[in-house]
Amino acid sequence: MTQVAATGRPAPSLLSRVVKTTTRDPILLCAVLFLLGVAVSVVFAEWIAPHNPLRTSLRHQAKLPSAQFWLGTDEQGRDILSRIIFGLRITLMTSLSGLVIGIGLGSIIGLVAAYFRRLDMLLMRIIDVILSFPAILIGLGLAGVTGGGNAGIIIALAVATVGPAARIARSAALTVVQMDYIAGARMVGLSDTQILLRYVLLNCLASIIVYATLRFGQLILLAASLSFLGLGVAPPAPELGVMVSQGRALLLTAPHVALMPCAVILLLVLSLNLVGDALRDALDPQMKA
Amino acid sequence: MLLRQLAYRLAVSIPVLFGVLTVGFFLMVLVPVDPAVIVAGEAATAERLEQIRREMGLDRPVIEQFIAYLERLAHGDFGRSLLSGNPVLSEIFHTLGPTFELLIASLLITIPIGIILGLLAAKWQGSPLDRAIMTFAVVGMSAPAFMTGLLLMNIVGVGMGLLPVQGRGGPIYTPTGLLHIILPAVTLAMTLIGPIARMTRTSLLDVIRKDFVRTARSKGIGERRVLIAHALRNALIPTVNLIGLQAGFLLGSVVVVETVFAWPGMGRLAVSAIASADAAMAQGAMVFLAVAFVVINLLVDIVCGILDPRARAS
Amino acid sequence: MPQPILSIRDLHVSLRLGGTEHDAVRGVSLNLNKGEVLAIVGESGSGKSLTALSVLGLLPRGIAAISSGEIHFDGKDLAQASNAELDRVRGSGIGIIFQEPLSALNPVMRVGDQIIEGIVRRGEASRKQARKMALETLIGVRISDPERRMKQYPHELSGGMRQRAMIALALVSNPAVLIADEPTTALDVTVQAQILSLLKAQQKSRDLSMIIITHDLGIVAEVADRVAVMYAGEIVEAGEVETILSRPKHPYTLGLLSCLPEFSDGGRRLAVIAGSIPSLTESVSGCVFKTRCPLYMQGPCDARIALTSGPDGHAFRCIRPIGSETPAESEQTRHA
Repeated sequence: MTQVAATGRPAPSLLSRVVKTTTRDPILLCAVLFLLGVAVSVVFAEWIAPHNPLRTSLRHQAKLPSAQFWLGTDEQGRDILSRIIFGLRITLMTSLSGLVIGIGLGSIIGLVAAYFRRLDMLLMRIIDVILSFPAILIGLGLAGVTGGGNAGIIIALAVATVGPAARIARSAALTVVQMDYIAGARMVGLSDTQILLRYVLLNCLASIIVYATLRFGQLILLAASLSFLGLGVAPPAPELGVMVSQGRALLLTAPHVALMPCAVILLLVLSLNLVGDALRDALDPQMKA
Repeated sequence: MLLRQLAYRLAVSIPVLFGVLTVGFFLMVLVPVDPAVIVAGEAATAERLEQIRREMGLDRPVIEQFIAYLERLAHGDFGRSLLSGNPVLSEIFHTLGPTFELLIASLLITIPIGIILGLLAAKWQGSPLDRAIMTFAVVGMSAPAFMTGLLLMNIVGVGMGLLPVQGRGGPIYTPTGLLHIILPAVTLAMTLIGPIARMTRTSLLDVIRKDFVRTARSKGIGERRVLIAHALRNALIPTVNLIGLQAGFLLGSVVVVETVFAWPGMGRLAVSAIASADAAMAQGAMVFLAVAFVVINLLVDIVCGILDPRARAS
Repeated sequence: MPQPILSIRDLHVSLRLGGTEHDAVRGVSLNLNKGEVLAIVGESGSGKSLTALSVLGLLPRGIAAISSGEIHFDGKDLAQASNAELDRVRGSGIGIIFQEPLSALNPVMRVGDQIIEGIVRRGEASRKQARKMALETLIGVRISDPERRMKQYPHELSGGMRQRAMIALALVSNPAVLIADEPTTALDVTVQAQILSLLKAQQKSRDLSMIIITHDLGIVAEVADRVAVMYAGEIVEAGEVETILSRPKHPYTLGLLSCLPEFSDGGRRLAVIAGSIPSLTESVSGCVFKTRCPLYMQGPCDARIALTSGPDGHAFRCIRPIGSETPAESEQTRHA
């Protein structure tokens, strides 16, 4: 995908720059591979997970990692690795849904606010109000009302993301909207929607993508925290946060039960942050152009 | 004008508070548990339950209940906890101090250390020290608060037996109080240290190249003054801004840390209230959490206004 | 002949771009005499700003540095001085003003505080005295409502006012030398004239020795006594302004003059100098201007050319100076 910089010259392809940066930095490479591995495991969980994540076993309670159970077992004898794989699916689905909804809505609002200046004031006030809602409160409130569960978490994540996404989309769009080629497009007779979609959106994509990657990690942390507090999916569902909270009781005797899912969350968010940083460095000069 | 900005911030917060109140109210209405049953016990007869419902005003239309509820709030009556029977307001007041203490303690740790780390990383840009600090920062940012808490608990608290891991030992100025607050405060501090160090480094590197730093040097005032009064002073503005933006995230982390360390604060109160369907308590705690959030944002706005005169004139 | 107040000898400044070092200023020698205005003129990339910045050790750290040469001022060689030693000269001995006044002033500090900062830090006067001096200087630069300006922040002032504030900042300690790096380039045309006349007035009243860096020959004609023309890091011509502007010897100087609208034949296109300045990475053997010179002669122009000095102080770096070519070539040069 080539992006046309403001001067009209085609900038080096986004993909080629990303690939170049990745192959140069070994840690970044590991992060990308880890993310790919996670993606594959999540999609093909049923084939990859060695055991049934819900199958309890009194014989194998809280066992340390072994040949049979690669990451050990939890307090009810379930295989931790399998639970983590399926748990990643839940965590990722929840966070991704919240991210996509939040960024989708936020971008639309931000783009519209930047393009239709009359609506700008009103929209931004609404966004300010939304921004004033801390995510944790939304999560708490929704959990209280719905009794917990994924839907509440997804909504909380989405609401937490709409605000910042709108702001970023708007400021990126503002720099574009004032450029001459937009006026040119309008003169040629393109409709507002066409202009918005074809020109404004494309050039804001970079900022939005960078923000999305960095935000994804934060949302995963938020989702895991809400589940840890008991406000999300209920056990026996293998959500990562829930696994940690249940493993707390065994923290002294069998710390791996709580710490394995912790480590996975850490690696996941770390990889996302590293990739997000690299993306931002790669796209920044282009964004400044 | 800074005042106008603050007034705007307050004005925007009113719908938020109202929203929290409304959600809180509907908690009581929609909650699957019947409050009357909780009060009277499972074995109560149907008439007894009806009687209690009438006493609690649960048989009237929802809108009437809502208005009555708002009236009660206006008089400072937040109801009583379904569990303990105590007035919600008094229980919340008991938790205000500990949460406040925890926040202040962790900010006192994270802000100076974060800024110093960012400074060092910027000063020795590209060196192993820089990379080590930045690695530390990004890892710290990626670890969930409960992970840091549990790890510290396990290793320092129990493994080495150095520090207590649960509860609050008293006011922070007492020895036991101080010992008890260390682990939770450090855990909370770890969530912000990464972003602060990174932002300080980035903005310092950005500012040092700016023209006005060159002008400052050209006046012969000494390199140290150039770095501190001119470069750092400007570089701190985005960092303080960042803390404001992270306020929501910080609040979430407070709730988690209080839960992990059994710290008797508002966050833990809110979570346990929601978990036990103690609607009045949950709603009261949420309102106060929202107020805390607004106050934090106001303070950040004020500090930003002091630091950056351009922000005052919006 | 009295000693020049500032003397730059064989200055070399290296620039680091993308990992490699380049010689951006090559062997520049300049003398500034007391009370005179010396202009350094050239296009972007000629190295004129770098030359000016090296005097006070203000080259961007890690990117540019003095690789060799001497800068003599007040009995010291500034090129060898430590940062602490330079601090003693900065502001009090030599002042400098920059091109873009908004970014050159600290946005979070009041204008008045920025002006008095140097005096107070160097212990030359108390805060109260310094404020008085600042006020007087601000009045001197003809800024409107000076007392109010001192309490304001840079973003509250207009472009012209900011530049006046910067001039006040540089002059408040009464330095002997003022370096002005493109002082009017970033300003509106109407304000440019005001600032220029202000600089001229201040220079006269304070008996300042001034170096003015510019790409605008019009400014040179208006304020300067002597001028040095720089191209690709070297001085190609230097001398009295009147002489250089009316009887230039270097083809580049002539080309610059021809580009001025005043010198074009009415109705014809504006003259340009074809080509562009060689980039730092290209190394040119011999005359730096040969790629664009209409008088280029293969052979002699490919060898290193030294600066030839005439008795009237007119120096030029050319082996085929204007006046020595055939009439046909002269025609060619004039309409290049």
